[in-house]
Amino acid sequence: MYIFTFDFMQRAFIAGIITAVLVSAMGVFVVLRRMSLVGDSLSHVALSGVAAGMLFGFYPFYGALAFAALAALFIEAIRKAFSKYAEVALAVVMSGGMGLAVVLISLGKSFNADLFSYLFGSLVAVSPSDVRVISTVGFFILLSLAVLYRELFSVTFDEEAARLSGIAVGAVNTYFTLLVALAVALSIRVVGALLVSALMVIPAAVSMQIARSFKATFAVAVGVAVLSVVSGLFISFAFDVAPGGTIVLIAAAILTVVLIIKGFRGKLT
Amino acid sequence: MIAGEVNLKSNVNTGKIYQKNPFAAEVVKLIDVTFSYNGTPVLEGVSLSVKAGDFLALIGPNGAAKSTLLKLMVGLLKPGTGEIRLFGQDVRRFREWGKIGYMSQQAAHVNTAFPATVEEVVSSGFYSGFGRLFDGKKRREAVERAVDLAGIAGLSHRLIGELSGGQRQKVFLAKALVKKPQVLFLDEPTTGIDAASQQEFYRLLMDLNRHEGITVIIVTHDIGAAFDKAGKIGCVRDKKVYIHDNTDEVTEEHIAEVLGYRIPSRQKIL
Ligand SMILES: Nc1ncnc2c1ncn2[C@@H]1O[C@H](COP(=O)(O)OP(=O)(O)OP(=O)(O)O)[C@@H](O)[C@H]1O
Ligand SMILES: [Mg+2]
Repeated sequence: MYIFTFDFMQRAFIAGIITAVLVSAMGVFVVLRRMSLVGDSLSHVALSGVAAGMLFGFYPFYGALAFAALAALFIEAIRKAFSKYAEVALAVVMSGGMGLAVVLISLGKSFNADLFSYLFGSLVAVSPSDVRVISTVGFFILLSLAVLYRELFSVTFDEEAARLSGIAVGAVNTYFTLLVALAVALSIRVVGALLVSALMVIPAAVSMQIARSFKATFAVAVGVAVLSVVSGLFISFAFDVAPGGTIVLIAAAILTVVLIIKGFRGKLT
Repeated sequence: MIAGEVNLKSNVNTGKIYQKNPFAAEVVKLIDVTFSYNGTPVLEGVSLSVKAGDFLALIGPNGAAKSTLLKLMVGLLKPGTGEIRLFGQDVRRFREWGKIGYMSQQAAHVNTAFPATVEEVVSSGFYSGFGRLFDGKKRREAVERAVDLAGIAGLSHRLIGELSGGQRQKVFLAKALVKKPQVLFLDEPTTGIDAASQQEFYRLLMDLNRHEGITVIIVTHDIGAAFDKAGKIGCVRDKKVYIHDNTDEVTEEHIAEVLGYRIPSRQKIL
């Protein structure tokens, strides 16, 4: 196809598909743990990492990864203090991250097209080194998910029971939040900081409507996310709009269609 | 005796299973245990011992600290003072997780919307540490056996959110059974279950106790069933636990006095 004759489109598709798989797979656990806000919080902090990178002159992606990872550890630390209200911890980190980002951006006078691309995602901005970072860190995240699948299931389903089967619940929780942070930081390149969380939550929401098992929940979520990213990138290319927006709109459209079909079925049966 | 109430003592011979074995190993032992929530003591100076093969029912009014006691026994809560031993080891250092099955009071009520099948939930109770990536066959066999034992083999591929309350309770029992534990800790496993299913549930527990030699420690408000099925009754009240070793010696009046309330007749309960 002709759009793949552009190097930047190839890179955008590779980065986009890896991002979709990662973020939606994590999203299933995130939604079930009632931590839907976590993507938003971490992406705002990741953005401040990007701004720091631009201000101090290092690779913004590393800034995003490092800042998001630190924020994840911080969330886990204060989550214990608000154990019954996990979203308090998330809200604190989200506003803190945004505040830091705004300060760093105004210090660096860097409110330019480059920063804009991290906010809303970009097709042309995905560099070869971005693709390298996304695929390396992405592979590491997927490997971790595969190895820790049972632990994550147990801890998400019933923390007490998980503890009694010898799972180090605290360590699993912290590691998981760390993985989410890395996945979120990776995805701000293609999807954009403001829309990452939608790609994390919407596919999981769709799959929970239709899947008939936990494994299927994963498969459907990943499928919806990849479908949204691929078609979103095509549309973004064709109409020259920011990819983050088209991706999220498609995911939302899928959710709407599923809900309508389910609604009709419910009325008929 | 009030009319309409039966003398529990005369009913305890049916299906009673407790055999006193002075040589049986100690499964749980509490020595002078005290526990407080935020400075308010709920258990004080509790000592008790449960031996292998015992069937202990813990009864007592709401808020008496029955659930707290169970959580202390499995190590989910740490005692303020005193010592708790599981299979002879300090519970804080206990790591043989395969030996204990636990079903919390909330187990079947939380996470009803979790998109997992019965099989996936039961399977998550089977945990084998680092060997877990390569234990597929063993795991499948264990799950099959557990759902069979719990009598829910036909429900394996159903979503847990689409089961009845009683069916869900059995899923959690199967989850506790899947690792073939030597002792089962059950916190009000039959609340909200119809009389017939309750009978079935207790029959299952007695089977496990008698034929598989599993030690059972169960919290229940169903005093009739406790008297009928359990070999030991533990009354939890006023921060203390009073254990009665043999139900033959325990009269209804005595329990009523210890618990501070009257016992409705068995016919009304079952
Ligand atoms: N997390 C907690 N923090 C503070 N107090 C608690 C906590 N959990 C329980 N309590 C208190 O400790 C006491 C014992 O509670 P527990 O849940 O052990 O009672 P129970 O005997 O299981 O009651 P029920 O029959 O209602 O299940 C109660 O007075 C309760 O209010
Ligand atoms: Mg209780």
